[in-house]
Amino acid sequence: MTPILATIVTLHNLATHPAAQAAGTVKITHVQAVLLALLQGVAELFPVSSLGHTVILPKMLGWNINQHSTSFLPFVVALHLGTGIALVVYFWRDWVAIVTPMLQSIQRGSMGNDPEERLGWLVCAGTLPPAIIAVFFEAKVRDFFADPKIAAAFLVVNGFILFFGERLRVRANAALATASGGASVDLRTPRPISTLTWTEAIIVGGSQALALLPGISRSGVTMVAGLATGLTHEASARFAFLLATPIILGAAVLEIPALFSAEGRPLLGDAILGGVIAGIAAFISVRFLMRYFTVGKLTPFAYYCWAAGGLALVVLSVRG
Amino acid sequence: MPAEQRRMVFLLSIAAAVVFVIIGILYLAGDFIPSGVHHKHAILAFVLAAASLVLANFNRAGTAARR
Repeated sequence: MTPILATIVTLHNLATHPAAQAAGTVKITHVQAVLLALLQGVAELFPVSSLGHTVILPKMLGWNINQHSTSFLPFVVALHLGTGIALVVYFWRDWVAIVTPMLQSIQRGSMGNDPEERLGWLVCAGTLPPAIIAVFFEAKVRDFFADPKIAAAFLVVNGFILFFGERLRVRANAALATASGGASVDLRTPRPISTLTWTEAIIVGGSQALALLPGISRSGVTMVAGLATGLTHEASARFAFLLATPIILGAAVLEIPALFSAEGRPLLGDAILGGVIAGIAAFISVRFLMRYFTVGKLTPFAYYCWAAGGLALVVLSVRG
Repeated sequence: MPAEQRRMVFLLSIAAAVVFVIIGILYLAGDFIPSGVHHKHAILAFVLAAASLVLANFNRAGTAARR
């Protein structure tokens, strides 16, 4: 048995100790922990809303898990930590290329012409607005829209955002071709992310705040906003994931103390296991998506959101 | 950006950084709002203070040129 596995088993034994299962603590099985971790790892990066799925799916499967319990928080934190680390690992070369010239520009006291340096500052500009909104309003919005039926409805809305975002992109390309007066315009020529204006970066990054609504996908709205500025799918996806990394990782890091709190101890073993699984799932997802968006579009995800959201609405309404 | 404008941005950024640091300390102390200590709000205030200082740093050249 590897030391890590032994640690996980030991921690789980601690977690399932009767003393640890005090009244008010959340109990989840290993299967539930693994499924929730897979769901988080995949749905966080696919443009289909992880929050929406984690609100809807447990209800549809009849799982009685109080996801707002303080004892469930460490599990959620570990899943986000795993997802954030996976993003850093996948984009580590990008981050080194971005952060190095940023630090040099701070030392110099002026911005240079390096596109990666500018991309870094654009990511900063796009990260601050949703971070401010999340810190002040996340709990209020989460509590207000915690109903799975509302999450299902927003998942359908997310489908419309993705679908019409794709249509807007087609229309923008057509307008560009018309404006060129019939001259040959290579629409495949990508607009570099570093050519975004500060306002565009703030709008694209700020759109992440919509993902506070369960059912609205962070990567989905960010990608649609990126497409609206003329970025390609691949560039939009890259910018969306770069923008998501500090938000996901920051939110998780801020809650790390909860991992080791007395209230969170019962779920610590499952949290560590879930974090690892979510990280692996997220890495595979981002790898797939970055390849997919070299040629693929958002439309299939729109169809999925309509189908999943519609099905969830029907099932949840029938069950009452 | 004209030197005068850079100087204004520099001064405003420094002032904003000071305000954010004070807000952060008040949040940590639990005095800013009655519901107690808010670590996340405090950290956000410190991050905004750091961002303000970076902005001030980028507009330092304008103030140096003026001098």
